[in-house]
Amino acid sequence: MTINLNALDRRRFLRGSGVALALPLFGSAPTVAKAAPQATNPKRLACFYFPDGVPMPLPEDPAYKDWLWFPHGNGKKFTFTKCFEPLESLRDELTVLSGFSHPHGRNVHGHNNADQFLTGASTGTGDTNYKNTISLDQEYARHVGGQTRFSSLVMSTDGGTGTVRGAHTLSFNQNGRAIPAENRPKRIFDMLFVKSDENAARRLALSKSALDDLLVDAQSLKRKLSSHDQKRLDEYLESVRETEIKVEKAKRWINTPLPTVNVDHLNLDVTPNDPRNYVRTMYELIYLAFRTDSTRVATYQIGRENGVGISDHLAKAVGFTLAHSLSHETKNPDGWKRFGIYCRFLHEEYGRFVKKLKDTPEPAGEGTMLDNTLLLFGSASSAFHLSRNYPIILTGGKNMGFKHGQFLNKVGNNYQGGPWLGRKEPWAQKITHQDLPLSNLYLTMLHRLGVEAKSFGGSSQTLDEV
Amino acid sequence: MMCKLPGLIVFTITLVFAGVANGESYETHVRPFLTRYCVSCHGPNVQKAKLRLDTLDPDVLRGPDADMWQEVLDLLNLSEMPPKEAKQQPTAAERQVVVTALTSSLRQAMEVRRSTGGQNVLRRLTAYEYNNTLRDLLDLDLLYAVDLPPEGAAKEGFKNNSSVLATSALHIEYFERIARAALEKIIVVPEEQPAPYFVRVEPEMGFQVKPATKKPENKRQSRKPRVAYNITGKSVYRPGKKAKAPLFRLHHGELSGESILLAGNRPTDKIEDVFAPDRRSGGSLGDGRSGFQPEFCVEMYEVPYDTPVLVRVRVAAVLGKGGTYPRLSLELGSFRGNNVSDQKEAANIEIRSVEPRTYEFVVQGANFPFQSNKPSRPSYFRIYNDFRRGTSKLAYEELPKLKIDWVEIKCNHYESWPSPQRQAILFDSKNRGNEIAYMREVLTRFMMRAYRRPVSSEEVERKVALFRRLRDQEPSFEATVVSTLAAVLCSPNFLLLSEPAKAVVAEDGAIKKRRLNDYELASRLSYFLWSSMPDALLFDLASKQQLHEPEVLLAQVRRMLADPKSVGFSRNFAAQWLDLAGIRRLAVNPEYFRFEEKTKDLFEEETIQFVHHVMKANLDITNFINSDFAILNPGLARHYRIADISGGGFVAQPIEKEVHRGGLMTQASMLFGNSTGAETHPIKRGVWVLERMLDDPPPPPPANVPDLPEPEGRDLATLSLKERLVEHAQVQSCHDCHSKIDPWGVAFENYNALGQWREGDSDPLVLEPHQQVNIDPVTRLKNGTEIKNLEDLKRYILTTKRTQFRQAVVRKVMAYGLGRYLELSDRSAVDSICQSLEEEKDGFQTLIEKIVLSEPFLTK
Repeated sequence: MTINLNALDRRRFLRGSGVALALPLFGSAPTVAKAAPQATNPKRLACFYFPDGVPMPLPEDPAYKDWLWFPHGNGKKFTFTKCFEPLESLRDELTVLSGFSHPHGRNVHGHNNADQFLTGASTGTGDTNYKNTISLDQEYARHVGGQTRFSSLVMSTDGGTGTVRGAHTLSFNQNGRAIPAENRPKRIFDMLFVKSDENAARRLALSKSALDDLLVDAQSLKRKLSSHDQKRLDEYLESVRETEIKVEKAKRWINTPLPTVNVDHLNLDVTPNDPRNYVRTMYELIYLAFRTDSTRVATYQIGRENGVGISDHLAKAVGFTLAHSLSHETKNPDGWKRFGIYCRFLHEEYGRFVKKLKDTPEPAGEGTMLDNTLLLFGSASSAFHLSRNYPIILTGGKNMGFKHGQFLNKVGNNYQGGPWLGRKEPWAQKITHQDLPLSNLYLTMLHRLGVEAKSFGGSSQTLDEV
Repeated sequence: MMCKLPGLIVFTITLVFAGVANGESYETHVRPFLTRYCVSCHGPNVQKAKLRLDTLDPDVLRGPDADMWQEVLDLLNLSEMPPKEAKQQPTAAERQVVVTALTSSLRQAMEVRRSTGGQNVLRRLTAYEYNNTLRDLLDLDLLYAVDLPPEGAAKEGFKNNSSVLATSALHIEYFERIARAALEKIIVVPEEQPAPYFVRVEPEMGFQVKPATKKPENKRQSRKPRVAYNITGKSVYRPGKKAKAPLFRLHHGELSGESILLAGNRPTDKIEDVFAPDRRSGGSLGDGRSGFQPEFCVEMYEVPYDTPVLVRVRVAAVLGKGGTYPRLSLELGSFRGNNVSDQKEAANIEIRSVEPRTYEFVVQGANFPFQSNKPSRPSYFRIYNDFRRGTSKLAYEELPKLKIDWVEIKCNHYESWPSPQRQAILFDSKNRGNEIAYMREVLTRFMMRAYRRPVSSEEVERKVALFRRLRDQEPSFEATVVSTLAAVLCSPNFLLLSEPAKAVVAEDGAIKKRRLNDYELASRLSYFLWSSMPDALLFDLASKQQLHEPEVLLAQVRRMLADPKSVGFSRNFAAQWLDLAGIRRLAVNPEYFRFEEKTKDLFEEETIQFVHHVMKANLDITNFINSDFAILNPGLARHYRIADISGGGFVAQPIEKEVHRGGLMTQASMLFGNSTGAETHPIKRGVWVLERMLDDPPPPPPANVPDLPEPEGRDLATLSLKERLVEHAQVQSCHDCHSKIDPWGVAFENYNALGQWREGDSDPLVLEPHQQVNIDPVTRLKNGTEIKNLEDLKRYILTTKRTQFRQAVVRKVMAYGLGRYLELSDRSAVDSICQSLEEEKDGFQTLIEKIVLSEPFLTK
C-alpha cells in the first residue's frame, strides 16, 4: 500500500513554485470539500455538565430569594438570583429552562445519572446488562465531523470513561460505547496544535497498513472463539475500524498546516488542584479549537457524580473542600448560600467563555463566534439527588435561529425543592409536576444545527419556543 | 445427564426458577399482595401511570418485565406505593415478604443472566498488566501506561474483570504510540555509544568547604557537629562546555575526615513529644523530605533525559544502639521553580556492612522528573538515611549512620553497546545479510513472547508481509522493524488474553469445558501471581507440556510467589479486594484534621505490605481479621500513636493489645477510606465488612435514596451520627437493610475518620470545635448478638463467622485469579478448597496454591 504523498502536498507545491500564497485559514483540504457544501456560517455545538445539582430552596425559605438556582419570573420577565450574577451581562445571549428531564432518567439515583445526560437512554439494570445510546454531540459530529480536522473534542475533569453509571465522559458513540475523555490540557493542546513529528504523513500511511493487518489478526482470532468471546473481540474490531477512519481523515488533513495559536497566557500543566485555572484552561482549549475550526463539536464534563473523583475538589476554587458535600449540607447554616457560591463559580467561568465567544467576530462568516456556536450547560439533578427538573442554560447560536433573553419556566413554583423545616427531602416528596422530555430540546437543537433527524433520545417532538 | 457433576446442574436449574419465577413463591406471596393492594389502580380497569401489574410476566429471568419488577420493588421498598391515601394499606410484615421475594429472585436472575457458563471470557490486559508486560517483554522498566485512560472496577472491585475492560479507538492510538516510542528508544539508536556524563565526589579531593550561609543554630549546641555545608566540586569528566559544574551539598550531616556521616535525624533535634509532627512539610511522615532532613545532595546540570543512569555509592554502616542498621535512600528529581520540586525515590536499602562497600543503582532517567530542557536549572540526586528516630527517644548518638566515602553518577550508562535490550530483539544471526530471512527470525522470536504462545508460520508470514509493505516507505531497516513490531504490540493476540475455544455444548445444554493448554495456563498463572507475562522458565515448561503436571505446577506457584514480582499480586489484589482507591477518592477535611496528603501513601502501603507479608510467610488468613503484629514504619506509628517505633521501611512489628491494632480492619486504609473525610461513616464501614470480609453484599439502596437521609423535622446539628442511623433505620423501608448493615459499622466507632484510636466523649486528635463526640461502639447485630467493640466483633467473626470468612477470601482470590465473576458452577470448587484449607491451617499461600490447582483455574 503506497500513496503518492506529493500529489496531495499542495503546500509544498506552492512553496516550490515560489508563489507566496497563504492557505485559507478555514481551508478544508480540497479532498474534503465534497463532504459538504461550504456553508457561510459554521455551526458549532458544545455541551457542558456539572454534577450534584443546584440549590433549590423552597419559596418559604429565606434563602429562596438570593440562592435559588433558577431565576424568578417567566418568559422575558425574570430576574436572576445571586447564582447567576456572573451571567447578568449575557442575559440576552441565553435561555434558562426549567421543567425538563429525561423520562428514562427520572428514577435513577442522582449519583448515577450523568451518563444519560446527552443520550436520554434507558440504560437497563445492573452492570453487565448496561447499555447506552449515541449522545447528542456525537449525533451532530456524525453530521459535521467530516468538515474539520477533529470530528469532536471530548473532555472531562476526571478523564477516561469512568465506570458504568459513574461516567467520566458525556460522549457515547453510535453503539452506545463510552468515548474516553481527555483531562490533561497539555495533551489536548498537543493533539490540536502540535505536529506529532516530522514524519506524520509517512506514519499515517504506515498506520493504514498496520491497521489493516490488525483487522486480519482479529478476524482470524475471532473464528476460533466462543460466541461470548466474539462479542468482546467485536469491541476491539470496532475500535480498530474507528482508528482507521480517523487515520484516513488525518491523511486528508496532513497537508493543511496546523493552526498556530498563542497560548502564552495558559499554563498547560495546570491540574484540578488549581481549580479555577484548570476549568478556565479547559474552556480556553475549546475556544481555541473552535476559533481555528479544528472541530465544531466539544463536550466537557466538569465533574463526575457521587463526589468520588478529583473533580469534587473543584470547590476549592471558592474556599470549600468538596463540591458534593455542599449539596448534602444545605440544611446547615448558610448551606444554600455556600452551595450557591459554588454554582456562581461555575457560572463565572462559563460566562467568561461565552463572553470570549461573543467578543470574537466570526472568522469565517457573519456575526460573532457566539452567534454560530450553540452551547448547552446543565446537570441531570436539580434538588438533592433528584433526577428531575434539570437546570439547563442554552446559550448562543443566534444565527441558527435561537431566541434568547428568556426563562422558559415550565415548572413555575411547582418544583420539588428544599428540604425545609419539617418537610420531606425532595426525593421523597410527591411528584406534583410532570417534566417535559429534555430530548425535545435536543431534537430542536439538532434540526437547527442542520441534522435532519426524525427523533433523538426517544423524542420525536420539538421545542419551538427557543 | 453426562456432566461430571450432575447434582450441580440440577441445583442450578432449581435456583433459576426460585423466587418470583417460581410459581409457588409468586402464587403464595406476590400475587395475593398485588391483587389486594395494587390491582385496583394498576389492573384491568384502571392503569394509573400506564402501569398494569396483574399481567406482568412472573418469570424475571426469561420474561420481558424484569425492569418493571425492579421498579415495583423500589416503590414498595420506599413505601411510596400504595399511596398514603389508599384505604388498603399492607402491614410492614406483608410488605417485607414481598420485598424479600422480589429482591432475591431479581438478584438470582441477574447472576444467571451474566453467566458465561463458568468460562473465562476473553479480556484485554488491564493498564497495569500492560505496563508490566511491556516491562518484562522489552526488559525496560518505564512507566508505559500513565497516558492510558483511567480504568474502572467491576462490582466486586476487580479491575481485571472482562466487563469493565473497554477498548476504544483512543486506546488503539495510545497502544500504538506507546509501543512505537518504546521500540524506537531501543532500536533506533546511533552506532556509537553516547558519551557518558560522569561526576564523582570525594571529600578528600579537596573541595572548597564553605560554612552554611545560615547563621549558626543555638549557641549552646555549638559543640554538636557542624550541621550544614555547601560543598562545591568539579566533575571528573563532562562532555561539551555548556553544562555548569555540578554542586554538592551536605545538610545537617557531619564531615568526618574523609567521609560524610549522615543520620536520619538532625543532631540538633530535641525530643519532646514523640508524636508531634516534625516541623515543615513531610515531617509527620517520618520520612519527611523537608529542609530539616539530613541529606547529601548532588545537583547536576543537563542530565540527559531518557537514558539509563548509574549511581554508585561507596558507603559503610555505623551501627546504632542495639545494632540497628542505617538505610540508604536515593531520591532523584529537580526543582521546578517557585520553590516547587519534584522527586521520586529510586532506591531504599538497608546497609549492613561496617566495612565500606560500593553499591550500584541503575535507574531509567525517563522514570524520573529530571530537569532536562532548562539548562539553567539542575537535577538532583539526594541521599538520605531513612532510619528515622520515629516515635522512639533514641539520642542522636544512638542512631545508625551512613558513612559515605564517595558518590559517583554516570549518565548515559550502557553496560554494553548495542544495549542488551536491542541485542535481545536484533540478535546476531547468519541471516543478518538477508533482511527478509532475518526479519522472519526476529519476528518468530518476538511474537512468541508477545503472544505468549507458539506462533504459526502463517502468522509470522503475515507480519513478514507487513514488513515488506512497510519497508518501501520507511527510511531504514531499523525504522521498519519498529513499525512492524509496534503492529505486533497492537495485535489482539498481544493485548487480549484469549483462550480460543468454540463452545462445545453437551446434549443437556451445558457448556463443556476444556483443559487449558500449557501456554494458556502459563499466562493465567503469571497474570494471577505477577500481573505480568510468563518468564522464560514458564515458557520452557509450557513448551515441554509439563506445566500442568500438579507437582510441577505447585513448584512453579511457590517459585513465583517467592519472586519479587509477586508483589504484583499483593499490590493489585489488595488494592482491588480492599478498595484502596477509596483513600485517593476522599479528601481529608482541613477543618477537622491537620493532615499531610503524603500520609495517604503510608495508608496504602501498610495494607499492601500487610497482605504481602501474610502471603510470603504463608500465615493463617485469620490474620486479616486479627493479628498480633502490625506493619509499621515510623511515620505510620506516629499517625497511630504507637511509641518506640524507629527505623525505615515497613516492617512487621509485634504489637501490644493496648495499641488497638491488628488485622486489616484496624488499618487506616479501610477506616479512612470509609469515612467522610471528617467523621466516621458506620454505614460505609459496615458495608465494607460485609462486602470485603464476608462476601455478603447488602442489596443496593433503591433509586432516589440518598446515602443517609436527614431525619424529618429535627435539627440535624443536634443529632449524633449514631442517632441519625437509628432514625434512618426506623423508616420502615430502610429498616430491613440497615439493621443488617449498621451494627457492623458502629463497632468501629473507637476509630476516628483517620483511623486513630479514640474513646470517651471527645477526640483530641480532631481540631476544635469538632472534638466533642459521643463515642459508643456498643451495638447489637440483627441476630441479637451484642457486640461491645471492634475486638468483640473480630472475635465474633473468628468464631461464628469463620467459615463464611474463609469462603469469602477464597472467592475473592478466585475471582481475581480468573478475571471474572464467580458463578454457581464454581461453587463446588470453592467448597472443596475451603474444606481442605481448613485442614491445612488456613495458610494464605496454601489458599493460592489450591486455587491454581482447582478445576475452574485449569479449564476453559
